[in-house]
Amino acid sequence: MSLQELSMIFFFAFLIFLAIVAYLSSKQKVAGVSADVEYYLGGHSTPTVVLAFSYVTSSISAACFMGDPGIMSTVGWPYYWVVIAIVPGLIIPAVLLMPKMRKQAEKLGSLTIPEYLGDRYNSPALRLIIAGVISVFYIFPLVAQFKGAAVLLESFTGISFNMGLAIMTVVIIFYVIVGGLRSVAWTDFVQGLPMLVISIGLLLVSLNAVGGFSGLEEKLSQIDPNMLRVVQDEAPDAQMSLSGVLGNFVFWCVIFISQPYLCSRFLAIPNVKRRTIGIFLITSLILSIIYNSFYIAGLTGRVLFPNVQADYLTVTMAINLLPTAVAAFMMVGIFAAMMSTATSVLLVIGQAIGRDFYSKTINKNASPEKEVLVTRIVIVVVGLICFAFNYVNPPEFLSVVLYLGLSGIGSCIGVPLFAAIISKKSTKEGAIVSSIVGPIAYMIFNYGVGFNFWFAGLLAIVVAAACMIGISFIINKKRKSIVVETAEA
Amino acid sequence: METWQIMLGFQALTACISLGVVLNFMFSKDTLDNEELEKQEADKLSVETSQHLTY
Repeated sequence: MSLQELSMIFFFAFLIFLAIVAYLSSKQKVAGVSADVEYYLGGHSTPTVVLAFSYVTSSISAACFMGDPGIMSTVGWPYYWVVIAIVPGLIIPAVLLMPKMRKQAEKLGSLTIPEYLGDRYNSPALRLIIAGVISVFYIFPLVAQFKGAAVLLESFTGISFNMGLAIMTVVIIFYVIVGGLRSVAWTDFVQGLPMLVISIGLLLVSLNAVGGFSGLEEKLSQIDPNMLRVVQDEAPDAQMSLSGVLGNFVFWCVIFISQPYLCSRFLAIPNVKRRTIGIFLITSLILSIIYNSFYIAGLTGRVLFPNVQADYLTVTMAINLLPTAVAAFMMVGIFAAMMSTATSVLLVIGQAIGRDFYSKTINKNASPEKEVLVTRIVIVVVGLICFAFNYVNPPEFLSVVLYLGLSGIGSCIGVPLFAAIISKKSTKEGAIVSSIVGPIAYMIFNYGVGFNFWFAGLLAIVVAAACMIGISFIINKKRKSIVVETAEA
Repeated sequence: METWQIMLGFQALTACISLGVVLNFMFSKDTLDNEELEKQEADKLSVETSQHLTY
């Protein structure tokens, strides 16, 4: 059987399997739980390990399997700082955020991240700002995932770009509207398994082909000795100079973990026991180490296929190094990676509009059932918008729009989120200003001043944090003096 | 020392630190109670009261 035929069979078998998983998981409703808690948080009854899979697989989009190994193949070992930082970035801040966010959100009755921050700071304006930013900026990464999936389908199965786009749209909308977070988490869990096999399999095969790590080192030194550096020199086009490395840690530890499609998993864990949170985090730790080690395949690919375009490197490796059936299976794995991110992001946009805008602002008397219905309608509409964007004019520079979306949202939410947990003195005024200043500062530093992507994120967080500290200090001082004056009067 | 040893060493280091933080959290004897939240709400209430007093 040809690669195309096998890919087609595997792909449709995978979709049917996922549809069954999504349907069955949507039937596991918990008695006595309202429709909105059930849809947005899986009724707090999704198994911890499944949630951990969902947390990690949502964090690694197609970039982990195609884009980033491609960048590794041109930058070399310095780009591995991403992997060094992403593992603690997903785990250490979660130890701080997870128990407190879960407890506070339950106490306040918050089901979404904008709602949680709005309630925590007692500010509907903050809730609307964050929900608005989510609704706008998340469209970019979503459009990128849709396009990536359609391109992948076209190259493996021969299905035309537009047909692949239509399939992706229908499938994603189906999985999200069927059962909300529970369905998304279970399908993420099932999708995570082929991704795991691919990560380990292709990495080991390609490492063996280049003669292990020492052979890889020797061959890379012949191609370009700069690929063996630990950090790059400071230069306008340098990805991982010292400033890039520092910014890289801030990006994963603050900006990335603040993404609502990731940290909303914290609100969904079954309980706030140390053992439950520990199991979630240790599972996430192991998975993130395995998945992200796949970046090394970018280096082995550079040695084995030096003339292949960066983004197509891992696909080329799979086709040439693995048996045909396994290569077809890899296509399913990459498609799964795109889907797990896309379903999580689509659910978060639906929540932002359905709950934070509609139910909490426009129609405050809406029943949970009506709120979920509006959320489902929004999910269908947003899915169709992404389809239309790609159908009419697919964006060329996907990585740019992808990172614009993630950094815009992370620099908006990061400081208010961490301040809500760390400091009792943080005020709503500080939170509102930092949520507006953060994304603006990021764009100025990145596109205006020309700092590298990572360092621009670091500076944006510093500026947003300075706004939060400064404004909160002034407001608290003012309030204190008013209390004293009132007491004296 | 070769570059791969340095980079994988850093990866192992950050992974071990992360594991240490999680295990420390997991086996800590402190209880995860609601004291802090109650304190926060009391603070919020006092701020709201002070705002109310100004009107």
